[in-house]
Amino acid sequence: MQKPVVLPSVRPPPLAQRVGRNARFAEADQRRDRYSLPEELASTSPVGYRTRPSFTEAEGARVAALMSLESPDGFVAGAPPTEGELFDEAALGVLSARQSTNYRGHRQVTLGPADAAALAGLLRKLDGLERPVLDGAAYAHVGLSRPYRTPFTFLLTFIGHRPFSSLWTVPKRAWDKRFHHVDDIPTIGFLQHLHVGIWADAMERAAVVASGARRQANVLMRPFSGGMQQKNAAVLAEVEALVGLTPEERALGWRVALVGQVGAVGTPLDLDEALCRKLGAALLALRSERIQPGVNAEEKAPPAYQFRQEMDVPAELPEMAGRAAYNAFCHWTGVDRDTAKRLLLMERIDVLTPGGKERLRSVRHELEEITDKIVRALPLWADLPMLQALSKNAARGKKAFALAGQRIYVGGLSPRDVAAAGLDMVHAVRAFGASAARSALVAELAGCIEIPAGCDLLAGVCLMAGPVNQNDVGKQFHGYPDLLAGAFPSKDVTSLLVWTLKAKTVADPIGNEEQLLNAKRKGALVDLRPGPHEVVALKRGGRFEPLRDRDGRQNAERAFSDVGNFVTDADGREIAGNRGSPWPDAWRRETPWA
Amino acid sequence: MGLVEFDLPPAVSLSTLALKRGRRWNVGDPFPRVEVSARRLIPDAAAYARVCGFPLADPLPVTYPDVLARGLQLAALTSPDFPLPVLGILHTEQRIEAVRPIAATEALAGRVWIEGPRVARQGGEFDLHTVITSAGQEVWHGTTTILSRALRGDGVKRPRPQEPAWQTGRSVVWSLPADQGRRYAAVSGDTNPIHLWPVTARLFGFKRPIAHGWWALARALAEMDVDVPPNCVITARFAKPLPLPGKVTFASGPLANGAGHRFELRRKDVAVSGEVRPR
Repeated sequence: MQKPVVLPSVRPPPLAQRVGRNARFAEADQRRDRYSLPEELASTSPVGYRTRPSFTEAEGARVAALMSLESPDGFVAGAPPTEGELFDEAALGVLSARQSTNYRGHRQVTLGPADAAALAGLLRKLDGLERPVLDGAAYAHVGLSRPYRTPFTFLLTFIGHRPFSSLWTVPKRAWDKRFHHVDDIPTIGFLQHLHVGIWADAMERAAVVASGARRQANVLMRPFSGGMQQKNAAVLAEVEALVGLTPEERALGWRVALVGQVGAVGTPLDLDEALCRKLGAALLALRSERIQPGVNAEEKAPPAYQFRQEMDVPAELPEMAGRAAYNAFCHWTGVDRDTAKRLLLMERIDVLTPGGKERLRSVRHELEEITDKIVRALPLWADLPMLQALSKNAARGKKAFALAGQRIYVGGLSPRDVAAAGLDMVHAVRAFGASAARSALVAELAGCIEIPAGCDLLAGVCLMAGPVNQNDVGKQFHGYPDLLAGAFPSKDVTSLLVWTLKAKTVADPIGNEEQLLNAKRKGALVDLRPGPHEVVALKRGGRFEPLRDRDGRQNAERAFSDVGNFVTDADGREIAGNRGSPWPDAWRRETPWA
Repeated sequence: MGLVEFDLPPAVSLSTLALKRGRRWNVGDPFPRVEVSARRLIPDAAAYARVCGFPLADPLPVTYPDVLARGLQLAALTSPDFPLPVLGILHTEQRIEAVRPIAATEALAGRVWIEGPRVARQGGEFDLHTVITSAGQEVWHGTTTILSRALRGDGVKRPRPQEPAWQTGRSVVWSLPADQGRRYAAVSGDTNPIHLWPVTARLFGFKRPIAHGWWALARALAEMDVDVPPNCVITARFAKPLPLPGKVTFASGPLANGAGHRFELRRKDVAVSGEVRPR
């Protein structure tokens, strides 16, 4: 069902334009800004400030096999996983999957072989399995997820009310949100499920990469989605008991979202250990790229950001990214390729398309107009006592809609078409998230092939939900049409994500990364700060042990640090604490369930 | 005084330490021989390993023998023959020669003696030697260099040894909690007041309590993990105190000449540094 994907090469610009970020530490008398290197990283996260390693074309060709990875059809006997392998796998999965841990809304409980066998027995009782449950898993991950709640959703509580009735409609909405998990707008509810899909797709790759291609994951998501969740309630209660989900957590909205059975496979992928290590290090280095040099950099940005580079996203790149997206959608929903193409609704809105410039302009204008309406309509009784924090935050949202890139797509689904294809909308949204992430990964990895000296990358991508959510506010409260309504006038379309693909050689300012990694900076949208002990637990002897919180020590290891792709200044000076320190070898080599 | 022998290391109370008075001593005159030993040392390193971050308590953490011999060291320092007061002394350098890993079940004995003094810039330095034996064989030898301001220094700034070239392999920012000194004191028996509470530290001229040098060294070696070979020579210099609570950056990595590893603990400047070389 899945087609092979090729990572196309991106032609670098002329020699004189091959520039990189080259960030420096601020001098003693200089004010630090988003272009200065952070002085330190104090973090238990496995991520760190990383650079993209360069892959040869041959390596790229082998790595591309992961873009059409099929589920295993059985497990064979193999060595039990070491603690270190489980850490590496979690680092590529729940801890970093497309930066989707942003709202601490995902957790993982990993079960040993005995519990995994018990889990398999329960899984077989579930309705709606998208693929067979396998025997002989070495271990299994149970993914837990809760509704998307962030400072942004707090702000949304105050949006779309009438001046006087807001005195009771705001508290009512807050109550419904807190106790009945009702979302303010539909696309906010979908964010949770987009992330679950992204995580599921990453979990499959993580099992391969962390084990040097010896293991694969059989990830199941459908029985835990939407209507299936209700149908399977009795069995799911048993799964929840197996992973220790408490009534208090259930009340907060935590539910089982996916399961990954992991085990050794008879015919591993053609990826050797060294290539897997490099790929793991690369996956941890990929970040959203929002800046297109010469287009949307701020005035004070260094010269590297100020000039357009003579390079372009090659036509094969969106083609292969699209192929990967359809691969993922078919893989996760089981529909055929033609149906996938019919269901995934995409509109290209960049300046290279006819009328693209005007279309982009109108989208930007519309989003700003909605922002202005939001600010004007915020209840003063709430905004003023908070020193206008609500309206300031809402206005700040404008900056998040950086629709810059050489290829820009808006994507979505039509609930009616999804239902007609026999799919649950929630599951389709999850599959959409997986498709988006996989397509973005094609662009990001293609941007790592043969990176010239002095350059950070050759291509990047930014996947955004912000413009879609803002449009949804307009739709729900101010009568605006969906972003995709013009392109698909006959469909009840719901746009879900925006892709901006960029060919460039200079990575976004390091300050953008600092927002994700520095515990003192509040990255409102994305978060790479969690340590493994905060989101992953291993079940051993009936107890749930946080991963890497032992005898007073917590993780200081950056996953795949042996590859050495850490950000430094031009003189090789490192950011203090960035490189981390490997977990004690004696603990790393332990086999938790042997 | 010569050699004083114990069966087990004696318990030396804080009041004994506090009441120990020095007498006039010329930094040019060698100390009288002060040597104490114990026939039995009984390790119990589990709590120590936890506080210092060592993953295993067996074999014994490479710095733990110092704790085993703490009673002997204090007995030597409070001996009537040793002419200097104990309170206010500063740990400036450390050398450890780990002959081989020591199993927690081994029958161990210990011996401690003092050599010195030598004139230093701000006082006089002396060496506290600690030797641990198993079945009569030396398995661990620690040389603790201590500065006493009770002796008159010469005020001469000595050139610092040249830092060897090395490459960062590990780098972590540690947050040191306010009770770090008390936690280490509880497992090591080193209850020097400068490490415990703000009020007790202030009595000795420190605005805040400072971390034990031995803890800093042990924590660094625990972080270096497999980069510390079982048979090794460790040297460390304690240049600046580490105030509690506080943050410090640990870094270590291979020496450029391939002869071992270097480590550093930095705040603004290097506070603790050292090398680990195979023996």
